[in-house]
Order: sequence, then structure tokens, then C-alpha cells
Amino acid sequence: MLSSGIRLCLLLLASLPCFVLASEINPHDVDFSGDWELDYQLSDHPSEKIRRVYIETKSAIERELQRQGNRGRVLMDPQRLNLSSIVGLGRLAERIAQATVLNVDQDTGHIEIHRNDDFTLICNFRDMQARESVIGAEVCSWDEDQLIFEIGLPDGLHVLQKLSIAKDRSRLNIATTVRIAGIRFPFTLNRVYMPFEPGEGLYRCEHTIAKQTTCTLGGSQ
Amino acid sequence: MRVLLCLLLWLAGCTTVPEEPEPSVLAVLVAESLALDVATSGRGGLNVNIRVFESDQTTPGSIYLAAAQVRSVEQRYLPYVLKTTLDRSGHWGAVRVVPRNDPSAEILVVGRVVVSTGVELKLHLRVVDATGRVWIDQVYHDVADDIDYATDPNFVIDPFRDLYHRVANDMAVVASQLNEQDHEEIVNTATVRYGQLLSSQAFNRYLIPDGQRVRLTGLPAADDPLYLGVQKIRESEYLFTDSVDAYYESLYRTLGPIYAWWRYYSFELVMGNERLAGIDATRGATRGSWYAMERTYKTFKEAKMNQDALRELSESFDRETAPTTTEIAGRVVRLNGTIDTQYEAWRRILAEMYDEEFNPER
Repeated sequence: MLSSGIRLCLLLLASLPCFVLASEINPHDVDFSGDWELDYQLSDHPSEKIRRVYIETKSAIERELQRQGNRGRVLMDPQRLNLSSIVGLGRLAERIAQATVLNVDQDTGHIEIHRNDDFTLICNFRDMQARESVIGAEVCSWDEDQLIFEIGLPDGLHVLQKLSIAKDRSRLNIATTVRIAGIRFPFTLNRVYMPFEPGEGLYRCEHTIAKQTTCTLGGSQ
Repeated sequence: MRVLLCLLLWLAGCTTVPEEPEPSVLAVLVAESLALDVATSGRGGLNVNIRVFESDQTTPGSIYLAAAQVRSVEQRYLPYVLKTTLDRSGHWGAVRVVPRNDPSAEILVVGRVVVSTGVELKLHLRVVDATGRVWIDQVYHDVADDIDYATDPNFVIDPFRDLYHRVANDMAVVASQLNEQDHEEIVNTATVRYGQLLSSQAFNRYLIPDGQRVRLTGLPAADDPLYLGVQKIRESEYLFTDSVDAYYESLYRTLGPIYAWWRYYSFELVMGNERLAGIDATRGATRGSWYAMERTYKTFKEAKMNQDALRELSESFDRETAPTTTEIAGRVVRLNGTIDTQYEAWRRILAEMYDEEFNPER
């Protein structure tokens, strides 16, 4: 039997905006493979974005209050529209989207997105069903040429990571959206990555069972 | 349309975890703190082969649904835990983990992982001797609690050790009921069945089917060259099986500590889920607070990273299986590939060598 918590998360994933528009394997033949590093210039800066969204949301709340005030009634629910949640969501998004280096392995059937100091995002294009995870549930799906990873966690925490790539493969974007059930505004952080040649660093490290992790000087081969 | 898609997605999600019918055999819930029955004296014990366990693709109640690599590890890891338990009991001869069915094993243990989480382990085990006599066909079920995990800060001491003790004790009870003649019959039948695998023509006549079992009608003369050849090849097989067993031991030692942590995560999270208040991933944080949300995500991330480590190591094991070089009858044989492939190739080479020696006209 599925635990009620996990069933709830599966249900939550299914009930949040549906992005599954095509069931084909990689319908637009998108290739994300390669080594990517963060482009700080084009990426959102978390603190700035939090400040901007905060100001925009504050203005929206004030406008709403003014509009409702003009009608002589105030219906603002502070649980659904409060400013502190912007900061909380923003900080959480910042933690989730912290990766600065990506290594993407992709073939016709699946993709593995290895991220530094983070877990690997894996999608099997032939089996893109919502499934139970260690806690909560996960699903990957295509939205046209964008690949989406969604995670539903307890307490209504929902994380969506949307990958897109420029046609000339010069940039790859991961838009991380954090949403919490009951809070009106989700928070999205865009992190843009550019290609780079790995192995040019000072060290080249390899992990094997026999030798564990061994690093040698002079990375390029 | 969107509502329909959502409903379909949800239903599709549900189809990944169908209700699997339980095996028809009675499940034994293992009592807590069951001591291992250790042999105090001994005639030479029978040799035991434990085949790598099977695992349900979709294990009901398991948190491993999306983690084929964890299943792959536990299919090889859990039999080795049973092997070490049987070794410690002292009731048996050589106990080996093997990748394939071995009808010529004196005692063959085959198992299926029915449920495996940090909280619960349910194994369906079938123990059969070479004559086809079924010793055990049983689902063993054990549930772990906080105390099981509290004994070792690294969680390497198996929280389900009572289950393995129970299996070992049950096997020891059956073994203790065998008299010398039964014992000899099993050993001889195993040798003849091994001969049958090499040359059915020469050895079929010594065995006749008797229902689900086989009965030994006689034995070749002790100095029969075919019989001596079989025994010689079997000795080589044992040497090879020992190196296969060493592979599983290496997996047990390297992946064991990681698997143990993973199992503990599973325990913590499954229990947390059941306890309430969502996972105790929040560990004391007020539910719904930002701190609690961050803790929940952090726990998820840690568990996923652990899963990554387990997968990478498991894949490394398959990739890095060292070639085995061994010698038989003056001929050096080098085997490459996964352990499964090596085992298969070894079996084929032995049959070929036997044919070359005893059936040169074929």
C-alpha cells in the first residue's frame, strides 16, 4: 500500500499545472548533453530577484487593497499573500538551484544531469510516469522542447525545474520554481549555464572501486 | 482537457505500484532478539549455494520503486548477509553466493525480495537439497524499530539480523534431522546431477524422477574414469565459485556501509511518514515553517545523493569486475565481463573440456 503522504504527493503532482503535453520520447529531439558552467552574468541573482519580486508583490498587494478598499471591503488573506513568504520561497529556490557546474549525459532513452554538490536529475524518456520517491513523489515530462522535473514533497512543497536550451547550444537555462500549497505566488529563479571544456583544470579525478577517488595533476589529456 | 490529463497522470502514477499478490506460503513474523543456533559439534556440513535473490519490479510498500540500483544492490547484498549468518552458525560446509541456479548444489537457497524498506524486510525463501526435497518454502518477515538501529552508530549491524538467524536456525533444524544415509544421498545425488550437466548420456541412468524429486538408482564405480573426471572438474568449479564468492564479498564490504546508511534513511523517512506530521525530516521544526520546509528539502536531497552514491558504486562494480584467470587441467582460462557472464562462460568451458576428454568423437 502507498502511504497516505506519498499518495497525497502523487496526487499533488498530478493536480498542479499539468505539463505533460506529449508522450513521445524526446518529441523535439532536444539534446542537453555536455558540460556546462554557470553564467553569472545572465543568471538571476537571488537577492536581487527576491528584492524585485518583493517590491512587485508589495505593489500588487497595495493595489489590491486599494481596489477592495474602494469597494468598502477587504478580502486579503494574509496566508495566501504575505511578503515574508517571498523571502522564504526565494531563499529555498536559491538553495535548490545552487549548482554551478552541470554534466549532462543523454541518449535516446534517458538523461542524467549531474550537478556539483547536488543529486543527479534522472529521466527515463520511455517511462515518464509520476513515481514514489524517498519522500514525496517525482515526475519528469516534456513541455514542447523543455524538459521538466517536478518534485512533490510533504507539507505542500513543490519544486519544478524546467530545462531549456538555445538553438545554437550556447546557453542552457534551468528555471527553478518553488511553490507551496496555500501561498499564492510561486518563486522562480533562472540559472543560465554556458558550455565549457572539462579536464582543463589542475587536477583530474577519477573514482574507481579499487582505488577510490584518485586525482592526478594535469587535467587535459 | 487539463482535468482529464491530470486524472490520467495521477492514474498512471498509480499504475507504477500495483498490488502484488503475496506468495501463497505462510509468512513467519520473526520474533525480536532471536539468537543464532551455533553448532557445537560437527560432522562435515553440506555445501550451500545461495543464488542471487530475485526482486519484484514493483515492490508494494517499498520506497525503492524508483531506484532500480538499490534493488540491484540488495539482490546481491542480502544473499551475502544470509551467507555470513550460515557461516557463523557452523552447521554447513562451504556457503557460497552464486549468480545462477545450480541444480547440482547440495543445498540450494533461492530467494525473492518481497518487501524491503528500512522498516520492513520480507523475503520469500525456498531451500531445496540435491534430491529435490524442499526443506523450506517460506516467507520470512521482520520489522525493525528504533532499538535495532540504536546498536550501531553507523547502522552496519543489520537491523533484520533476527530474520537471518531464523532462516539459519530453520535450516539447521532440518539438517539435524538427516541421518548419515540421507546426508550421503544428498552428496552423491549432487555429484551425479553435476555429471548429468556435463554428460546427460552418461549419467541419466543413475537418476530417476520421483514426483518433484529425483532418486539415485546407483553410483558409477569409484574408479570409473567418467566419474573421476566429473569429480575433478567439480573441484575446479569450486575454485572458480570461490572467486565468484569473493566478488560478492567485495560488494558486501564496499557497498554495505552505504547501503546501511540508505536503509537508515529509509527507516527514518518511512517511520516519519507514518508517525504523522509529515516526515520527521523537519526534526523538531514547527510544521509549515520555512525552517521545516528547508529541512524537508534537505532530507530529500541527502537521501537522493545517497542513492546516487549507491548507484554509482553499483555501476562501478559491474564495470570493474576484474577478469578471472584460472587454470584447469594445464589450460589457462581467462574470463572477462560481468560476473554473470563469467559464470556462464566458465560453465560452458567446463562442459567443452569434459566433452573433449570423454567424448572426443562429438
